Amino acid sequence: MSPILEANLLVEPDPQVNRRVQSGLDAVLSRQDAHTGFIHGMGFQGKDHAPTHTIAYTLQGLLEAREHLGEGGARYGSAAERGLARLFQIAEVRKTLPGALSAGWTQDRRFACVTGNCQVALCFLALWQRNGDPRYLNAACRLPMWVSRRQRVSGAVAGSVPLWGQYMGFRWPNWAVKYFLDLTGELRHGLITLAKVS
Amino acid sequence: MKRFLVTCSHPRSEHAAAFLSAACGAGYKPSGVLIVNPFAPSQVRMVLRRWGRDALLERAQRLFAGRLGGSKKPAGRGAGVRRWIAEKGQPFSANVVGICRRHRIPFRLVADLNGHSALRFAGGGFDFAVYLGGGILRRDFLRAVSGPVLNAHDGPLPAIRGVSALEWALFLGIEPEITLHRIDAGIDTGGVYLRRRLVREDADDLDDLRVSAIGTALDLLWEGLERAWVGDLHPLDIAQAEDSGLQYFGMHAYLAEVLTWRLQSSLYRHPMRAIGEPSTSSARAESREIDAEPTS
Repeated sequence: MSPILEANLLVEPDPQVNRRVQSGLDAVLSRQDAHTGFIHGMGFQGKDHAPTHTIAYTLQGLLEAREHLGEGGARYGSAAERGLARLFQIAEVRKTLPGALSAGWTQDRRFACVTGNCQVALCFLALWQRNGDPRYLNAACRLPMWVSRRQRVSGAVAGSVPLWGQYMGFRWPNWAVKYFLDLTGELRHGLITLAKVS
Repeated sequence: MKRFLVTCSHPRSEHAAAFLSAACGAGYKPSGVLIVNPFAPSQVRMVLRRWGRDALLERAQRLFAGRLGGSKKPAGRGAGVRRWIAEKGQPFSANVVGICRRHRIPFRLVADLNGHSALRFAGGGFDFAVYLGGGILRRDFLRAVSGPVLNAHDGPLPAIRGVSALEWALFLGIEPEITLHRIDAGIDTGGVYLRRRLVREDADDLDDLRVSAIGTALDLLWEGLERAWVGDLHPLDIAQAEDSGLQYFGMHAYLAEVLTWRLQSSLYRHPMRAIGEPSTSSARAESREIDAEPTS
């Protein structure tokens, strides 16, 4: 929904588009567990058992919606921050993210989703750029190290680790490399900015 | 006479060995020492799961080199320990087991401080405990020791909790300090007993600050021991509510590099000096710069 908001801003903004997108986002928020912050139905076909890849999509969408909607989108950003705060703790303690999570942030550690690790790290970077909390930058530095150790000489990055994991098993999706490159580029830019500012 | 327990993270923990030597030399003999065995099966599994095979090999290499540690330690800390023990007038030895045997202190090698064996040992009627490493302590351990468990945290509380607190304090431009606090079920959330600002006068880089930090941490633990021994250790009036501070994790090498660069740059020194005491090292550096100016 975030790209719709972005496109709407590029052309003559239509308030009806914003309203419809917000009603969709509100439906997402209504599925958030008040206690744990987990949003139900983040997985494929609305399942609770969600790969890190689709969790990152959901949280990234909420973060970007806040940027596009301004004051009116604060609640979406807060919802995303709750989820990212939980993922940040997991990333720091375990040095990587699990392949999938389900209700109550229950971790499925039988595999790791490489794409999801890169996407969540990108969300950490976005959060650091917004609130200046260096802990998120620290976690964003940690995750690509794990991914780079698993990159093939050809440059390909597997969907899952181990290869037979549930997300894109026995495949090397092009978007895994895309997110990895996005992350390393953003991280480099962030660290250079930080060094220049200091 | 009080009975106290000391924990340490491995049999060649330099700061634990130094503290034990100094305590025995000054008549504060511990009544028990719990030493975590880094090659117990559960420890090996944990290292393999968290950090991989390379970390385990590194541990083994350091054991044979006589410098075993739980993690990759900066060189600065060892120098700080040696300086501290020299000030106490005791010979330096990193052999915790040897010191225990020499002074007839009961000790136990355990796989985990929260395991059954350690809990049985900790339940031996100790008045307090001094924590010198060994991993996160769970509620059962804290219940087993009837008194407080003292820990020196290398950052200001409650602002910076968790790991790499010295580095994070510097990164955030907060005056670094060491805090002696009671360990409770949270991460660095227990009551604060003592706090001491870090002496930065002779510190030119991060390693120098680490030397200063380990010495100050041992000083605070020592003062805590002396006060607890006579029953005069009371918490300061510092709010340690759960939400009054943030938990930090180990600083990544990239950020540590940015921090080192900041420490070396003149841009960094000015705000820190404004917050803390006048820095004589900066003054010296400035005078050197002035001296180096060509005179006409």
